[in-house]
Amino acid sequence: MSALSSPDGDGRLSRRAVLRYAAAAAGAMALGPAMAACTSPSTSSPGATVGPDTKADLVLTTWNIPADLVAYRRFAAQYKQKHPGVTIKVQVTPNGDFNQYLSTQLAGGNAPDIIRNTWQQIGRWAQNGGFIPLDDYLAPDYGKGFGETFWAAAQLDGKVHGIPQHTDTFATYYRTDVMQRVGASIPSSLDAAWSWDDFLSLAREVKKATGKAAVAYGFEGVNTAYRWLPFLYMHGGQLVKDDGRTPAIDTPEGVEAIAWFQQLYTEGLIPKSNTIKGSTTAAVENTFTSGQVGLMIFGDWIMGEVAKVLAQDKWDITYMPKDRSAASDLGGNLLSVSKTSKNPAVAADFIRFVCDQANMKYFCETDLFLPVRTTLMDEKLDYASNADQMSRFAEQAKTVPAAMAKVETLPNFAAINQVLADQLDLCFIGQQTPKATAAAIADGIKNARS
Amino acid sequence: MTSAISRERDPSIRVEPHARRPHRASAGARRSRRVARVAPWAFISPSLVLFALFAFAPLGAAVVLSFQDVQVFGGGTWVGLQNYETMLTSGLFWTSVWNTVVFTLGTVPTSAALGLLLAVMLNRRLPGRGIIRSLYFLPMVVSGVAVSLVMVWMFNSDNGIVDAFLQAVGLPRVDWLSSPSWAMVTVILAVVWGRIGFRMVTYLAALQGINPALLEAAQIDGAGAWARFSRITWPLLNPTTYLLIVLNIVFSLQAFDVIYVMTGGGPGFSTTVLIQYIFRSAFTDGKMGYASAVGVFLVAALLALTVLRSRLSRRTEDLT
Repeated sequence: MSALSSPDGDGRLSRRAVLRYAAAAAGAMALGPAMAACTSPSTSSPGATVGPDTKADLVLTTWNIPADLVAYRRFAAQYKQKHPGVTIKVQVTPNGDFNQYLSTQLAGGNAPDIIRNTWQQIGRWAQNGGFIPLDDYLAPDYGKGFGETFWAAAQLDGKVHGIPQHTDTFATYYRTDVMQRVGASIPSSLDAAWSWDDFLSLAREVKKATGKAAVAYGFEGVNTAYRWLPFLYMHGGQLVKDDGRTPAIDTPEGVEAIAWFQQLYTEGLIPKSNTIKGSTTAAVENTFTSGQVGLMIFGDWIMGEVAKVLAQDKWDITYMPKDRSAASDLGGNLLSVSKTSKNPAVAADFIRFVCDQANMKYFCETDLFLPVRTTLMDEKLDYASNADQMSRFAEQAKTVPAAMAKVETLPNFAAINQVLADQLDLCFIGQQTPKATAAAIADGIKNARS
Repeated sequence: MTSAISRERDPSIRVEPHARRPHRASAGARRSRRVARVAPWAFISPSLVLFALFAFAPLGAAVVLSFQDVQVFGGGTWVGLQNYETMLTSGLFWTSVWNTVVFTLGTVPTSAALGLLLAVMLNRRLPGRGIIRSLYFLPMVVSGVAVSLVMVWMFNSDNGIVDAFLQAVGLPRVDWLSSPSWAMVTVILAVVWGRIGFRMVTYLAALQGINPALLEAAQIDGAGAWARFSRITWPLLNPTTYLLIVLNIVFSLQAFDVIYVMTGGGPGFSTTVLIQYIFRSAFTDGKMGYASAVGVFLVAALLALTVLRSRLSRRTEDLT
């Protein structure tokens, strides 16, 4: 994807937020018309050919989060009220099988019209022509409403291939009973987050307290190996240089970051079953809710599931551990239009409808996600539940390293992710040394293709 | 048609000599022969069309793709034998070949032997025999993915029921799915459990087809249970064993769902078999041409094994 500009040079979202805030303030007077543009897209954007008489049957595909399906169907129904001739069917594609589903559907010329995809996936499909550029369907200044990093990550060679809908990130879940037992003090701000040393010491105490393990990590199979990357970047390392091609992990920082994480496995602090390739969402959650671990580093989107099993006074959220800097996972999704869509203008119009200010707010508040529109990013959202915890995730989201986001949206990132899964697994669970692992990852990156 | 052929071949039917009859008979015979030649094709043509469309055509396309550098979807450039060269020099390819061999050796004889054992046991009069047979057959009708998910829970290294049982009887816990040395064993156990039912039913049908008079005669002649089994039952089960071994090898070389769900090919590469390797080459690494080359290798290996087994079997039959 295109370079993510970093005005302050340190590559942190939080710093760039200064510009974002400035842009938001400067645009305050224009907010009214901008909002109007969001809610009545059919009449204000070049390339839009959607009117009340438009007829089209579209398919939107998403992964299977029940609450999200409800929300998308609600948007489809609302859109139909405005455009009675347009029917949008919401279909589920299992996230773990996204690549093969979409490859075969695109090759067969029958891919869904609108595709929900992640930051880690969009690069490949944009590069290979699977997603069409949306620029013709968007006003020239449409992207100004979005967080700078997110909007930049949605582009390839200056063309927009998806509209950001939301983001999400990792933070640390902790069990209050276990923390009380080990006498841990919980960080109340990002600045006070546990250092690596603090976290390691705490994890050893937690393991003694639980008698089993200490910390579960949010791996959910091969496709999620990239979730280890925040630890590389918070230690000052990089996966790939700024040119987007040259491997940069085989450095002292890279090797040390791998070694630190490996220690969590070798000391039995992470449950044995919590491997990169073998983990499932339910199994990881279960280790936390059943008390086998006292800590869990995972995303905001599983809070609802945790809350169903554990009473709110039994658990809470704090920040990710930090090292030389803070960092966290880049999660979230974009909506794109497939090259096989017969009604790309309608599909693009619906996406703009879903991603307008009001619907983004609704989606995030209802399904516990973080917004990507600048005006919403600075607003305290009225979350359906766990508002306090969500505010900590929102703070943590500002620590997502821009350099890491740039790497994760590279067209060949799916292949790079596979290299990470293979080599980190060999190191964390097998006998491969961190030094050999860093070298093998660097080799793999050189051969990764889109 | 059938009666014409049988009349022609049946020596007991006598055809009277007659001046015009040879001509008429010869015309009839010619028609019969023509019908006999065409009829089989008419019967198999629907299957043949479907096979051609859904098996032979994709196979041919895969062979063509294997000589190309193909993007994730559509478009490709001709690269000759490059994909095959890459394949033969790839360490991961040979790792997956080795894992496939280990997996096949671990599953084929084990599931056939256990299936035979169960079939012999359940071929006797036992109370609740029907229920026991159904229970053993049950895994065969359950989705492989569902079975695998249950297995993941059972063999979980932290809170699985299998480790809990081992611990309860004083045995050490085993890192079933999280240890590179145990993961393949665990996957083999899961697959064998899923396959036993089909082997049992097939052997049971074959056992019930054996003429009891043969066994009774041997018993009267003083043959013990082992002698009756090894000298009479086992040789008569040969065609069934051959069928099951061929099917089992094909199933093992094509194994995917259980491994995909249980280990994702890991830890490391410890359970990455050929199909897993093809899948990741195609859909994750985006190398469709290369994945096709590995697929062609797999088809060739399957064909070679089938031909080899067929020749060995024929030679064995000739010797006996």
